[in-house]
Amino acid sequence: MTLSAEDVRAVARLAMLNPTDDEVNAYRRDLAAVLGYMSRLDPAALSGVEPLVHVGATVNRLDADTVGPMLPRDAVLGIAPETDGPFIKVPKVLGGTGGGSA
Amino acid sequence: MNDLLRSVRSCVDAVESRRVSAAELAAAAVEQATRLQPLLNACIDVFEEPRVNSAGLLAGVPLAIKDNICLDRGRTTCGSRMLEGYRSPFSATAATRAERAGATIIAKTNLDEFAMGSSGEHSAFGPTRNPCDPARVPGGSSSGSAAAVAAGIVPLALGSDTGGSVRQPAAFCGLVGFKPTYGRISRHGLVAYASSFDQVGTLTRNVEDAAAALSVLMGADPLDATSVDRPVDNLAATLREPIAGLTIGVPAQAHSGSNHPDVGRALEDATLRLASRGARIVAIDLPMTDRGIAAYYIVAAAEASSNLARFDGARYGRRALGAKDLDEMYRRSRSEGLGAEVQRRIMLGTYVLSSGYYDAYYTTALRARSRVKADFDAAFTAGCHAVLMPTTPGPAWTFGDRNNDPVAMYLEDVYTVGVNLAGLPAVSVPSTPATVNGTTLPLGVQLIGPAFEEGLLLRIARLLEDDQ
Repeated sequence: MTLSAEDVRAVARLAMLNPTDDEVNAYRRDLAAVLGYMSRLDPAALSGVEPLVHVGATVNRLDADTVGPMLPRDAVLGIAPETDGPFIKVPKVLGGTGGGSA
Repeated sequence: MNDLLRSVRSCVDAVESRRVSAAELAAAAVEQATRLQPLLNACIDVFEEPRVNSAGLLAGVPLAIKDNICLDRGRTTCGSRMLEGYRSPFSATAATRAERAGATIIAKTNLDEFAMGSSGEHSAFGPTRNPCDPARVPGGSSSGSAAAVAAGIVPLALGSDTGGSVRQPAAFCGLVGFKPTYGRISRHGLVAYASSFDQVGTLTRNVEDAAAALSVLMGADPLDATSVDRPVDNLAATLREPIAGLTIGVPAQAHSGSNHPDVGRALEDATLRLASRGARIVAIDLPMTDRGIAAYYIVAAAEASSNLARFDGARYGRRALGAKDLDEMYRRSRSEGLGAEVQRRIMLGTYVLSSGYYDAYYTTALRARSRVKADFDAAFTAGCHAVLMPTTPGPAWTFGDRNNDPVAMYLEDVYTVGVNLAGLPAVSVPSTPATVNGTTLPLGVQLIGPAFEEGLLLRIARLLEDDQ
């Protein structure tokens, strides 16, 4: 199992992370080692098995359609990094260089 | 006073008989926590003036909670720079239930960042040390909770167990670590790591104290849609009831050649003890034990990559300054705020969920998860009341021993992750210890039961304790 620097950067773009060149090299080594270990799960040997998505006894629980307790607005604004009146403030969304890959 | 801090029962008895007050007990625990902090680094915050409670099943019991469990006062950091100054506006249901039952929360404990780690070394607040040997790791990720109980700071601590994070540090520190059935304890206010596995658990010095705490903590919660609405008995009251025809399954995989040699002896001693107390011991097969690690780390990383997407610097937590647009703010906040192991698991999870790899890794891991659960179900259907195996392949290691090789660290979880994959209850109980270079180090054996059989599991675990 080998991963190129470009493979790692593509995953980092999806994960919303900015690895340095050193970190990219570390990921190439570490992720390849972990993924190599994981390849011992043989898809062919398990092909007839139903995937287990929920272990819980409860799959869907429906609540009454009523208004429940909510956090006070001041408590929510109080933990935000930057606010403007009743709003949480963030840098501009459009016009940057990021390109909306989220 | 400090002797009282070694058991839940003795705290409750002392407070109810008015020999000491809950405030005095809390003050003694705070004093211990503060005194031992430079040696162990078990706590992220100690509450100098805790909110003292004194009535209920846990009357006056000083309690420490892992710092990924939200409290509406002080900080909730998850051991991460990302949440260094984060103050939760609400409390976790588990914390509230403990307080309503009379417990006094005196500290938030250190942990591997966002509960990702098996050694307690991956915390932005520095590593926790093992009270049994400060040169060694206490295990993880509930490292500080285990250290706080083992050091006699508190008789009870809450942890979280996603792949063994309560049971493994319990084994490394000589404690009882209990992980209930998936859905038994509300996760409202437990910061999510891998939601199909995460479960709150307890660290105590003995089985009876675990029973008392679980009786209070378990139960349905309207604030957690995965919590299960089933009756909860007073587990401490039924602890000494005999078990007719007790049958214990020991899997062939428990005798792995890669275990430390003393692990085999600990398992043998535990098996003999259960047999001497009337249990029939049968050999079973859990053929997916090894492959369970791969399945667990694929699914847990996938869920982590999704859960931790919320830490983006927008609404709370750390925000990188001076970003020119939103995208840059997200990326820089996450890269600066999240530690190396957390970023590695997010990268891994993103990879296995990405187009072209999803079926090969993620779906395959979910199929393996089915097999793991089916193997346990087969043992229970065949008549086993519980499965017995080691909690860990060896005793606590020295700092730095596993840090250069993520796979080596993950392999330490071989005996614990199957329980989380199958959603079952399990308890680690102290066993015959290991001896390494003349030093005695704790080991644990693990009992795994059918879903919702916490009471039965505690009764079996009680048979393994010395003072029978």
